[in-house]
Amino acid sequence: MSSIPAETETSICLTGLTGTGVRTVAQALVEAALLEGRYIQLFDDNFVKKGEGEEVVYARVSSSVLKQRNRPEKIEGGVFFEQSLLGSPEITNRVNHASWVLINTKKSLRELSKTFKSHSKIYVFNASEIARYFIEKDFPGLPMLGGLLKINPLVEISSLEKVIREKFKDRWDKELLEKNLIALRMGYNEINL
Amino acid sequence: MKQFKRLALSGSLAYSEALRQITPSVLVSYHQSHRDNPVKFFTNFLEDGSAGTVLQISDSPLSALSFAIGAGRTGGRVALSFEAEGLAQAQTLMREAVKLRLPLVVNATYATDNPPYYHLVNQGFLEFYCTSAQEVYTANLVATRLVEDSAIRLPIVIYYDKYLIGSFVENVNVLSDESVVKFIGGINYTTEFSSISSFASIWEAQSKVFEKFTVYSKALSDFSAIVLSPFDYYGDPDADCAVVLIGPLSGTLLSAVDEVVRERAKKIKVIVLKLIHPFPDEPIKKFLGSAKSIGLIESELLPLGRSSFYNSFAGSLYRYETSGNLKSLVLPIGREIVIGDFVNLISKLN
Repeated sequence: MSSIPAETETSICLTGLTGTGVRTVAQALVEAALLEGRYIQLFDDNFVKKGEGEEVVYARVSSSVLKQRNRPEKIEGGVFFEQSLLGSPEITNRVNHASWVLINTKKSLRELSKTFKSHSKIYVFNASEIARYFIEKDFPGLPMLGGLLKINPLVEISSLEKVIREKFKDRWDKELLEKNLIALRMGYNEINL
Repeated sequence: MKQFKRLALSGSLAYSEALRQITPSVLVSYHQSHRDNPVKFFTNFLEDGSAGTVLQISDSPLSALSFAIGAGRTGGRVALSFEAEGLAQAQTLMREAVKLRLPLVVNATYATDNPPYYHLVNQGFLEFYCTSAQEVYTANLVATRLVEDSAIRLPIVIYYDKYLIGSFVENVNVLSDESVVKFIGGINYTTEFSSISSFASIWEAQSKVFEKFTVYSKALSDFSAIVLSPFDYYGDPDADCAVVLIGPLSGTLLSAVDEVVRERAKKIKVIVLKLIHPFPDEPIKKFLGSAKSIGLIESELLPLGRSSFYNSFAGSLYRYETSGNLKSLVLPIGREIVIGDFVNLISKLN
């Protein structure tokens, strides 16, 4: 069972470039939550000023029925699949008051802090490198998802693995599937709390 | 006993799933925008053979509806997927579909700021406004039974917001394929309407819609525990202030009502209308009771000042001699609607 206490709602903002799996991994995340008996929502932010090819989605998970259909007032965490989006004030403002921000970047935390200031706790790791190593493509989604679950155990990692196996069993061969799951676990292990 | 599985689906995907299970003979589509076009998802089912439907993609709403009417006249089970703006252009043909008593099930998407109940003049077809992806799925199942009922045989349009429902993923309870086939049954209408029906017979059919809708909704919920209601009530039935709304912002409205009740100790009741044609005079009258202040939530002010929804509602109050001040509560357009917007509007009700 997930470690979300009863009667809570958690919202995560995920942002990245279109075509790099932002929505796909967010969908996998909410499906894992659904598997654990939660109520979920997943939707685009249609009101933020985005650049060409940029994507901002919200994943909301709750133990009770979700009624509202607007951007969450309180965002628990922000996930940046693409470091360049830190340069977009419209997007970074969305996660201004989040408890934490997870960023896919080659830079260390010290290096990044020179240019990116935030009230939130910042976690960084090179998810793209993990993805390139294991699946030979720059699709950092699953390592980022692993990192997200280490910071905020929204769902059990086993539930997510189950969803991924089911979702992609026809699209990926067994070897690629296992490599993706390893990439997920690697992302999880990269984060030091 | 529950017989469904829980999936994370957007409204468009829920509609595609319903279509796959209903397997209409013909699906006619007219969509100008490709984003979250439900038919795009449905074509995956055609490719993998899990749906055996003839798909017709039209480049104009009039040709789409002409095709659908022709297919309907041959006795097929016909579904249509439209954008509401396109449906507005094909209203004259919708009137013909009504007169020919064709049991078409039309799904139409609309933009949040431009809901069709403001400007679309109903030509006699049934109208249902969904408030969630679950309702898109369930409404298609119930509607298929409803329109093919020999006492009804009128086309229905199921509307849903293309952003707040169409591309919004949420919990949807989905029945098994076998359960849907059992519920829907075989095509249940004949083509023996050799001449155009009289208006009297159409009105008679419309007078039976609520009763039949309730029967089929109950039949579905009895074996699936999936409930579909023609409207939802919320709040204190004795409240003097009443708010009326159509569409998926009902969830945000209800959160606002909770806040107002909690913080200002104000009694409020809400009705969320879904089946709005035939217009539900009786249930509205019963719900409003002796409410002194009635607010109608609308999204934009038309240049002429009153939407057709407002006029229909005002007419209903007049017909039943229901007292109470009717007020139009207009939401801002062009930006996201939040709880605070509804709280501001509700505070305008005395």
